[in-house]
Amino acid sequence: MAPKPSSFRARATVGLAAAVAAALLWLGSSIATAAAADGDRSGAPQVEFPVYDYDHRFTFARIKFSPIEWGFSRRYTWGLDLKWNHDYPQAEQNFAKVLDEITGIKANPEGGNLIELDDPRLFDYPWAYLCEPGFWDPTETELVALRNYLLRGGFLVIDDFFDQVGGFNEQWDNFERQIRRLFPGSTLSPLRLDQAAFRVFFELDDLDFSDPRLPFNVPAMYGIFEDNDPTKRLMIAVNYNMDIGDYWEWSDQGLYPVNMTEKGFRLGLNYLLYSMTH
Amino acid sequence: MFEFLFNYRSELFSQGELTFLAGPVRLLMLSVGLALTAWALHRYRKSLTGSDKASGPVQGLLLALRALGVGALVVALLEPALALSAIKPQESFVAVLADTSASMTVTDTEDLDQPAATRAAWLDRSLVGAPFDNEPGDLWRDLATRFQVRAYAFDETAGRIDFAEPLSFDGRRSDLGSALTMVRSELTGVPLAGVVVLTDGAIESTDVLIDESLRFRSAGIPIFPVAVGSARFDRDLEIAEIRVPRRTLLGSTVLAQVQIGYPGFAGETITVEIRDEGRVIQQRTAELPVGGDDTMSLELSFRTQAEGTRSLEFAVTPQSRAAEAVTLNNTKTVLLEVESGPHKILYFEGEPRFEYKFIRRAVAEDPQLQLVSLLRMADNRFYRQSVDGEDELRGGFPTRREELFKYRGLVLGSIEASFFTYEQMRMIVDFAAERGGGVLFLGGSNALAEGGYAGTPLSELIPTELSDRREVGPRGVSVNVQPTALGREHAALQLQGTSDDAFWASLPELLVLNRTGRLKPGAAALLAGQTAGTQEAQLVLAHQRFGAGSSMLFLPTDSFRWQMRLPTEDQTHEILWRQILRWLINGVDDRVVASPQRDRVELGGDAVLEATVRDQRFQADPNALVEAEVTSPSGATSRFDLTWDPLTEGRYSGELSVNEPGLHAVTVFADTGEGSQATAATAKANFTFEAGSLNEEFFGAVRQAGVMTRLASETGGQTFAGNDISALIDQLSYSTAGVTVREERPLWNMPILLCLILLGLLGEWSARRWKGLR
Repeated sequence: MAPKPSSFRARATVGLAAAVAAALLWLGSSIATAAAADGDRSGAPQVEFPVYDYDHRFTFARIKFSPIEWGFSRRYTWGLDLKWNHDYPQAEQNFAKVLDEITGIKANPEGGNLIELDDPRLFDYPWAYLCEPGFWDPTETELVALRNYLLRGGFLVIDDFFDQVGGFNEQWDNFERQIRRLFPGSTLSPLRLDQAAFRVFFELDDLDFSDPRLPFNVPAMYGIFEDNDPTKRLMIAVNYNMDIGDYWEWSDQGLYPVNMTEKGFRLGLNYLLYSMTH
Repeated sequence: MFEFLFNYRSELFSQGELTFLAGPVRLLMLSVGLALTAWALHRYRKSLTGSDKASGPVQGLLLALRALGVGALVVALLEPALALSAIKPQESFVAVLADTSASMTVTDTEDLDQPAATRAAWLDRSLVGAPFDNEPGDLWRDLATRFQVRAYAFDETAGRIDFAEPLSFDGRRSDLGSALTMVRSELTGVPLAGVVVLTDGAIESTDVLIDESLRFRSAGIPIFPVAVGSARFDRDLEIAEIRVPRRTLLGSTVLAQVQIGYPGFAGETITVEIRDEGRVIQQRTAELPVGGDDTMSLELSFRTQAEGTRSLEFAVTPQSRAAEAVTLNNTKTVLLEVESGPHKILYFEGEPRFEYKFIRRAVAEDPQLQLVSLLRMADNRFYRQSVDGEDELRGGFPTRREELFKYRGLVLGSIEASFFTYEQMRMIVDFAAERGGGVLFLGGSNALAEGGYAGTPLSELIPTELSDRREVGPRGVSVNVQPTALGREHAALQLQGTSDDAFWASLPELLVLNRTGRLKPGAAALLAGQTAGTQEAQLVLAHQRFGAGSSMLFLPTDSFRWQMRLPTEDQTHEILWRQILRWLINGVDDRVVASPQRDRVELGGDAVLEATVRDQRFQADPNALVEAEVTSPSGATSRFDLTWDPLTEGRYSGELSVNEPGLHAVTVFADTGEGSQATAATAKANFTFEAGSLNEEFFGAVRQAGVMTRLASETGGQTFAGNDISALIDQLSYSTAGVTVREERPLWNMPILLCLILLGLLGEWSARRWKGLR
């Protein structure tokens, strides 16, 4: 049976629109990539976001950076995929709600702050979160600030980056390159279940944080320790092939199974309480 | 003047009684004379009444003057006399005690006959006379004209002396009490008219001395101290007093307060040094202020770098190097016990927050502190860190005294008062008041007034008043922290070796959430600041003594910003918390507290060792078995029991004769007899004392009148100056002790009577002439 003309027209229109959109996205990402390759970050759009003044409460600090590439997306805040803004601000807000519900931590329920690494305000928030490090290419100034932040007692969670199964490990490679710039000679130590970060509040049963959408990506957790010594303080917790921020973001929408969502919160709470005790 | 008008010194009048020597014939003649005088005065008054030149008051004056002249004449004719009991020559004894301690070698005889002579030279001249002429000195000779003289020399010992033997002045202390005991026992049964003590007054005020003065008073034998030396040196530097804590932790900053006396040195520059085993560990130069009482207080802070007993020598040196009366008082030594830990402090935090982690990190590398932490992560979910074993704090915050009191300090973070039971709150108060621990309150959203502490037993412990308001603003106030005047000098706040304003101004602002009221009486603010916007004064750190312990308050909720915002290598935050927590437990005692009565003991003397013993609940234990083990410098060990002091519960003491110079290490063991063999019922404490030559004679070496005056007044004697020996002999001659005879001394020839006669008669004549009367 031949297709109905109207149906055909509709399909043709969708196809055209998709082609145009794809062309635009390619163009946009090419421009962004070219700009980043030239060392010019001005291509990344500056967007408005709320700022919460420093007070005595725990405030989620999300690291804002100029990504190597960015794109348009209806899914992300401001309609832009800026990489660092994945899950913002719902993840922060839901995380604060769970903190308030389960622990004695007094948290800012409205959300978190977006802070660039070279912003001195970063040092008021000894716990920080950075996502999509596959697109992260900090300046030297930012690296120095982050190094000081960590050595003085700060804690950084790096989350939400994946590589294609069987493909090149572009995301990991970029992340590892930046870590080598941050702490030359450092070791990314695989984290073990018996370490304090996984026992401090919830005693986790396992470290299997497989993403149900990407079942073939094997999650792995690494850490950068003070003096490169796994018996000392954990400064950076790395969630590779994992996205606990996504669990937090969608926890009130039922996107992920309950047990995975719960595990995401358990891990996040443990990271935070570890940073408040070690 | 009194002696000129009345012929004799006033003391003789108080000793004797007034009598009249006129016989019956003379009394009869006097009676007739008095009657005629009365008649003549009556006529005289009538003649004045008839005159219009003499008004009423003038008449009275004229009559009074004439009556005065006539009356004085009558008294003289009655031949008044002073009846005294006087010593019978050569039948009574006088004991002379000469102080031969080292302080007698000081050159300051300003009120004696020979300027610039030593006290010893005066004593030699008074007692033993010139060398080789075999003649007694002036005082001895004069006394010997009326008394049998028995002379003794005394310092730490006492012995009989003869005028043929030169005296040696090398005694290390002046034990007059024991010397009086010897005099009393040697001269029992002989008529002793009095005791003369030749001394500079640097006398040990011992129980024996007090006892002897009472015995001499009851025997009616007066003691006459003769003061030798100057009451004030023309020029002398002296370390009068040093205040340092007896114990401290290794690596702590210690603040020493040195009191310096400097007569004659005002305006000059001095250097004060602290030496440890000869090595200078701190020094400070200062100019001595002009005016005032020639004393000043200097503060020196230093860091303890080696554990064990440190014998610290403090020395003051003038830059001018000019001569002074005594140089041996320019150095003084104190003992400092430098302990190594770790000492346990319990930190209880009621809410997870970064301040908790950063305080822990700040002291984590301090080997002297063990910050045992209990964090309430959620309702009924506690997290323990730095505990010793699985059982410590397993049940949460301690509920029994023995569980809490094993810590030396307690830090209470952002935890609401309602978390604690009433008994726990009382226990925390007792932790400071009775156990002597230090309690630090931290600011926070659940702390202080905002945590409902007002009106609870814990509010007693907080150094400020609390308001009843409990709401917490979301923001708090930002504060620029500055030390107060007291804090600027405080050992705990010497953060970077500087206390200047620029350093403090460079520190990041901190956030204060809690509202506090006034400081309580006795509490002191050490850090304060101004709010960033309104420039209002804001308390930051306060401290107060509380019973046997102390309490502190640190209000900011985010001192971690000093760690995060200052350069990575900066140690301000670490030093602040190490020093605050060390200060919190500084001087906090364990169950057994033992110490020598005196840190430094004269060689050959007795060391008195004292111990206070408390049971595991830190209540005084009167039933303990207490033993001291003393290790002498040569390594010899001796053990002996300390005996229970019936006057003070839980206190024990014992004495030890010290014959070896150097540091003696003492360990006191106390078996409190509680618990089974499995529990540690035996507690112990260590301390050290030093034996040697203390040179104490040269501190406060000016003539000290205090003991001498008390001794004289207690026994009915009198204090005399060194150049007033004739008065001394006169006074001794009329002592009621000894073999006495009644002696009547005429008073009719007192100049005062002649003066009164002349005043009356000449005055009346002049007044009459003045008014134109015949």
